[in-house]
Amino acid sequence: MLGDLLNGLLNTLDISTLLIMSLCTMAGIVVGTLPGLSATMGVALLVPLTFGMEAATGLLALGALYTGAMFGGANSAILINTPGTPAAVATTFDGYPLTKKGQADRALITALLASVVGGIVGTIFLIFLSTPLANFALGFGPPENFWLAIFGLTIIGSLAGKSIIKGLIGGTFGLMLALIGMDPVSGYPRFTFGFYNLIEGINLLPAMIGFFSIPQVISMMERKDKYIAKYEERKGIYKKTISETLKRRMVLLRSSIIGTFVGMLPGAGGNVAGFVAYNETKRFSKNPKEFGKGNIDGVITSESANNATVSSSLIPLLTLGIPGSPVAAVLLGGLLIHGLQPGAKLFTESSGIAYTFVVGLLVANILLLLVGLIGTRFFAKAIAIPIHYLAPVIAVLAVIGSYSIRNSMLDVFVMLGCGLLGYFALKADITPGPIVLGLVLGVIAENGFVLSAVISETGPSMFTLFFTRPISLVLIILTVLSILGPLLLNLRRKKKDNPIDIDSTPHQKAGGE
Amino acid sequence: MKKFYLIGFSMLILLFASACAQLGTEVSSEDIESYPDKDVRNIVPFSAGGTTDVNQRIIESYWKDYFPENMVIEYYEGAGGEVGFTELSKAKADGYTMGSINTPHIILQPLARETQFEYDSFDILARLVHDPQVLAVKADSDIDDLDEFIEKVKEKPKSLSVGLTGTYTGDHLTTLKFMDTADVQVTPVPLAGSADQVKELLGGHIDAIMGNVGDVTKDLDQFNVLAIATEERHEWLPDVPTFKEQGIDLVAAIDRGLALPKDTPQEIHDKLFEALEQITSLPEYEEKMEDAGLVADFLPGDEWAELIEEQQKEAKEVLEKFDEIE
Repeated sequence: MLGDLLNGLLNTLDISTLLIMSLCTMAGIVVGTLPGLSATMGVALLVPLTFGMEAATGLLALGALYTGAMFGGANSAILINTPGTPAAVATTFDGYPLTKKGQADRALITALLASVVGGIVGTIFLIFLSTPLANFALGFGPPENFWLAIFGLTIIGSLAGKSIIKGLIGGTFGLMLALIGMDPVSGYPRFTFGFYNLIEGINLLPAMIGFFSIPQVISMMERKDKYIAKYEERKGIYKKTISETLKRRMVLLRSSIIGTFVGMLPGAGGNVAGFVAYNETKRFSKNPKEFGKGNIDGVITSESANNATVSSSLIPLLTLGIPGSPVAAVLLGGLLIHGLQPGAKLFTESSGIAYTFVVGLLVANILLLLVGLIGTRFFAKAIAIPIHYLAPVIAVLAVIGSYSIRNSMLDVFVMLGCGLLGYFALKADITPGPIVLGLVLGVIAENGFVLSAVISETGPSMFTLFFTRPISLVLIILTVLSILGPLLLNLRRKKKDNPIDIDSTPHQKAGGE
Repeated sequence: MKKFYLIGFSMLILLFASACAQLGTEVSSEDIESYPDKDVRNIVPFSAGGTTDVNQRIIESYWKDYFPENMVIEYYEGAGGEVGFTELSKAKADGYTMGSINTPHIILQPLARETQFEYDSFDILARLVHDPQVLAVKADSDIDDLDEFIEKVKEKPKSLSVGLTGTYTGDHLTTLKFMDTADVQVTPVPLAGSADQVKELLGGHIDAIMGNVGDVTKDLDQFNVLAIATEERHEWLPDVPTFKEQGIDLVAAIDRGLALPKDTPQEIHDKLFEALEQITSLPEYEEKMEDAGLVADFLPGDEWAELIEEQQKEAKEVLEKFDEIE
């Protein structure tokens, strides 16, 4: 295996391959940054271009683009409070407040480093542990998915901001949106009001663009400011931020591992990973109150988790041939066109290409670091664009992005509708985070529940299915802890002045400066 | 004065718009003669990178040898292909829009719900893929063959779950037909797609899947294919017995092909058909299709249309029998 890995590394370090990968990383960052152009779409657009390349080069190009796009999502999340990809929603929570404080550059550099660390950790898991992890992921059947979604909903507690009730209202609204569309079992259309495209349900991307970017655009116009926030290039910020981020070892590692595990679960993965990691980091943090107000840990955790999903979402694809995420499904097409059959035999029958690809993902992360470090200088300048240019540009991008997802005008109306709702919700202090979370998890929860009910017809009772399976039990315990945890922690803190501290203490201050 | 300009301007726009509309209604003989003089769009009603997309990409790679203009693949995914089928059926019948259709999808969707197209709303060019259905269990399942499967489920009706790619799909119809002919009751589990079928089966959450040859040949070691719904054994799965061999009269497949909107001029249809016939008979094409796990089986459009007509009647009967439709 070591030989294969070395061989793969040598294949990757070919100058033309590196050049293609760098270009694809840049393209990925652009695709990821623009709301509406998601990682999935970027990879889908690139697939036909890779047909002319060698199989390994083509796959590396796709991997580099995916890595770049996943980081790119953070740029717009931090600078204009609009996640460029659904996985970057959690980055907005602390990233944008940092921008408002005039620390956009610090947030961007941190996001970059966290992305690279997350990507590398995820890839290491992919290389060394893919088979056991894939088998673990297979253990997630309908009942487990249901509980995962329920666990995910408890995260609303940490997203809610000022008022838990308002967070719950947002979450419930998201869950209601998730009900629109065809009933997964009977095939009966619900709440579609005669729009035949709606039977597919509310598409996450236009809804997300609407909830985040439209209220942002409107509020930009309301305020009389000329710029989003003040920003001046500060000397030595790179060095300072890099050392500051790397010292947050526990946050980086924990978030990357959470991203790896949640990201590899087919169907549930990618979009939820950032939320789960954010929740855990907040729970373990000494200053949970600072989250949502510009705590740098919030950026670190979300970005390292979502970039860890890049590699881990490929685990079921490469080991079992099951595309677990939309991007993996597109990559599957790329593999098939090159005559590669993903699955257990990929690493034995086409080991050269397979190992080149996985090692190449490590190289892609290093390229991302280099390209990103040069890039952040320019990205940060985006806030130097006066609002009267920026707001229309964002509005136009939101419309084009929504339309281009599947050439559907209906998606544009969904985006606008969600945007208006989101604007008024925000006026009532209902933030978009819980709404989007509800929309994502509602679909997963419903499918898990209904399918379990169907399976229960074969013999096992609903109780056995939901409450006796080991992974379900763990998830139930996590859910209960997640609800009771904050209360218990508070009690403990009052008793002892020395709370559980997993993060390294001396740098605790860095988060809140 | 200003008003005058404004009215004049509006009139101009109206004129222009009506001129455009005029141009749009008829396909003149000159248009047919010069076809294609602009890009031809190809609607893929499923996601990018899926099997339909891969199939069309392979055709696209030879397209330029036959036509001066490009083929542009556009994705209209959603609702089991319904979004894309609708787009195709409503497109202008000038030969500049074609798209993929699948059976029994285009038959079942109009039967099951109100759709904006019918199974005969298309001018069918050709069938490209004929992917027979198979009943498979996990490789290490304690069910070894079809007899055991039927015995087990006869002993205790509904005790075995069979994963399908959604309700009112080919898998669903075939499972209903299987229950009808074998006189058994299984528990059909509608899942989001073929990837989910494989995932739930390998994870041990369901007992069997009603899938396609293309799904199981990706990694045959993972499955034990109990039976295939063909007249004779399939060359990709020579060891798998047919349902018929085992006394169950079940023949079913998912077919995929290309179609134009209804009433496309015959000359344009013929041009496209000839090119398709030549592309699909290239040895490299067949090789690429097999590499991608696609069971290529070319059939001219008129012959396929006849089959679809028969399938529609049969599907209607089966669905009515199971009270799935009124």
